[in-house]
Amino acid sequence: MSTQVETKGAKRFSLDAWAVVLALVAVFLVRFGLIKHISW
Amino acid sequence: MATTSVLTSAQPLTLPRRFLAILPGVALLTIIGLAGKVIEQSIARYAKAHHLHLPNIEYVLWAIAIGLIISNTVGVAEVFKPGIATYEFWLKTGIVLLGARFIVADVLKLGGVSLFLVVIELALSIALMTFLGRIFNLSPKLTSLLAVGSSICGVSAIIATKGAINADDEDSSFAIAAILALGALALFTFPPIGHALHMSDQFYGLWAGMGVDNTAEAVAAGALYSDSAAKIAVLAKTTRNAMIGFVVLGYAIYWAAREGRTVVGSKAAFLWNKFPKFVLGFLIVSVLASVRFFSGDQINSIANLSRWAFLLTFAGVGLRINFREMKGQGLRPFLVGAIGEVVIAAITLGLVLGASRFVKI
Repeated sequence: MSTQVETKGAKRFSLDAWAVVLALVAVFLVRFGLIKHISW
Repeated sequence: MATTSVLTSAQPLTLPRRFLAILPGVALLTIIGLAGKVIEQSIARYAKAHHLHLPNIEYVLWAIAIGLIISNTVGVAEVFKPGIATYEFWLKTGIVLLGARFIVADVLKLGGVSLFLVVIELALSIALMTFLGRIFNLSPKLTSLLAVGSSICGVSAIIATKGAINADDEDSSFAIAAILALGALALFTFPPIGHALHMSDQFYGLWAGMGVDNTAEAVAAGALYSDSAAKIAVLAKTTRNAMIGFVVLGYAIYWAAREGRTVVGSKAAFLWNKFPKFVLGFLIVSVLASVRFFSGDQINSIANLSRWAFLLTFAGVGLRINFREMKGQGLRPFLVGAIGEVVIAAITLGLVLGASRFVKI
């Protein structure tokens, strides 16, 4: 019971928001040279 | 024992636990995606070495096909499911990263064309699905879910609308199954039609972004045609996704009035809550690319990162297609969806072909 309350009550980042955060982190890592080159 | 069980059930809430839970599935997505890429490259190398003219089947199709075969033969073990479910996360990450390949002027121009066509498509789709739902005697809420799913962005729109109109789980699972089944069919029908009509990458991409409902399948249908088509499909689909809040709000108000409930409090807050945040991320990266924040090499690297994210997405698309589960969802919602989708695909094709005479993209 208490677990459910905790899950519902906790303010969680949406999937969208996490995707934006990860993408922006990757973009800045590339921009500032911490990731040198990504090949395909 | 009771205490132990509470503690155990509380464990998945922690971030490290959740991270560990998704690892096997993400590894499977990676392996399938890489296998698709290796098969594509091996066939190309073989054809070159033997001076053969074999059709170039993109890694996208191989990754989807491998996933589809696994899902419909041996099945997907439970341990992989949390990780496979992240395919949508990789899709959204890939879309944000793809923003680096668009400068704002392109986004405004293509987005403007897309928006104009999307508004027409939205109105026609909603009207058509509502009409078909009545003809086939579907429940009004299932009809609303199918209308939203087919007009905007598939599963996400159905889930958002389900909460807003208090639809039940059965209706939403019917609608989701119908939209997914039809999205899977689109993967195998859109590219041949595009080739048969000799559509340019740009206009085919526009059609895929407007005609295929679920974002992952829309991007995959674009990528099956060409890299440029995938790029345009993402933009057109993103424009459609951006409309989600308005349509869901419209349905929420309609159903609240019909059931005598109070309409949601702040409409602005409702719109913001439903607005897909990855669209903003895409625009931010696009603005950064437009002000030359990145060098040419860096843009290539970011675009390649986007391709890697899409690689995981396409593997997930195949793994999610399960014909047995789809068959068990009932024929009528599927029929309504199928008829609606075919008509919508034809209408959007007409719109895109019409636009190709007046607009250059």
